[in-house]
Amino acid sequence: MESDLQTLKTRLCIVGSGPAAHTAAIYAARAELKPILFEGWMANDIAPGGQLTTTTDVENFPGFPEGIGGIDLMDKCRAQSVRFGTQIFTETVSKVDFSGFPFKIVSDSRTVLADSVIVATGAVAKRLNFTGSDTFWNRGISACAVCDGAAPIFRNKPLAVIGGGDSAMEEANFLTKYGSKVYIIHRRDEFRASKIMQNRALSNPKIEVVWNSAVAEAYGERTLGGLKVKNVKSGEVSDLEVSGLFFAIGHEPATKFLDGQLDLDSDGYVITKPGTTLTSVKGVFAAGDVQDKKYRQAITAAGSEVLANTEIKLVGGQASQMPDQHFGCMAALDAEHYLQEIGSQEGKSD
Amino acid sequence: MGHCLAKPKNDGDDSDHNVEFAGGNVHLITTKESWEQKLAEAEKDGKIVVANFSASWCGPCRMIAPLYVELSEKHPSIMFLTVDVDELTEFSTSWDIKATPTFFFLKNGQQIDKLVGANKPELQKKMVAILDSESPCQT
Repeated sequence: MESDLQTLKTRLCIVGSGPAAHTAAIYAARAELKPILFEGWMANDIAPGGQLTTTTDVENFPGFPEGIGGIDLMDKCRAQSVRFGTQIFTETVSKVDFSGFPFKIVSDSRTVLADSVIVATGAVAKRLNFTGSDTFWNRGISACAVCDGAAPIFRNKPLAVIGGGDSAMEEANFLTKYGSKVYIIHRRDEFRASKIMQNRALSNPKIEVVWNSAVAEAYGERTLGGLKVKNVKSGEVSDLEVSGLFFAIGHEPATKFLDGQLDLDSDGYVITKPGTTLTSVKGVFAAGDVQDKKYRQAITAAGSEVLANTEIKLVGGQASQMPDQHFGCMAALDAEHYLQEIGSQEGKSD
Repeated sequence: MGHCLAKPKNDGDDSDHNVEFAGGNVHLITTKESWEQKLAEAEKDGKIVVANFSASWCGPCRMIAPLYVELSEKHPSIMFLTVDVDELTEFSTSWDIKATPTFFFLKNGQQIDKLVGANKPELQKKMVAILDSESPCQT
């Protein structure tokens, strides 16, 4: 009946390791919920700390006028969680069971039985598939301009960015610091990015937009040499010599491990009740990039005072730190209220 | 991902991260001279060399560092080196390091195996493989 794994009991288990997860942990720990947090062992191929560990300098996080390194920022968040009593396991959650009570969260080394759970597993940058996209991955093709743009193979060479949102605009601008020229390849004839970001990109003399187009093939020798770009309207294929290609087309939420136990939207994000972190399972909460975007934007659009200052555009891996914190904090509070509701007490046996 | 694309560091303020890469029986290599010295030493002792090319700002490198240190303590018959790709940029480029961490396995100065990425099970598998390939009289 009992597995060989060590079994632990807790009132709150947090899955994740980014800003949302640690904000939730800090609030929960200070509320004496003694949370257990799984930060993953290279879960989703990303180090604990999440997407910010793939970023160099974070300049837009309030409180750091000189900027701070992504890893440093997350180290501090983690230290703060630990300081207040969060128990952190550097293990990846392989499966969960929310069908019964208590909830079960399983890693390779242990099973955690939790009265409540916060899912804050974030998202990873999306990539496209075409001939050569695997061959030249990390040999010229990347999904993070900020991480990789400074690499020698891109210096003073023509580069390309795929995308049409704020991320793509930001990354294209960023890359003009290193490349000789930056092409933005977009499959439609207009960007969905905010006007201000569009203007910044379009007024940059080093940026040229290739409209209504998609990459059909990446070629080169040892590293990327060029792209075959297809005009999706005319069908015409043209050649674009570039040494770097960066995907800036959004992120993929880390929800596969949930195995359908929470309602997800069509893009795989966890559906939460608007303005809250409540998921389709009572007692399970979701915070951060893993939450569905639609409702978050809707709340922002509704002008809710609480979220008025969280309408921050996604910028590559630096995503939405303030909303993460807001939702991370909310998740901890939601969990705390829930635990009071069900009368969960410390040390109470089943 | 599972690794970082190698690039020259812009500013040098994470020197304290280096403490995670040294430790156990791992030798941290910061100059070409020390690399050559260590390789000569290994060749003289007939030891296989594992060289871990890492960067202090690379999350996956830090993740695998503790295991690397542990392996160095478990297998004293093998020489464990860590090369800081920012301290030795040109040298790392000469090894064609495109991503960190990259592990090279060397015997008599020749490359016998390679691993790219912070892949715990693969690293352990490769360790077993090179230990098996060692002659029985060496532990």
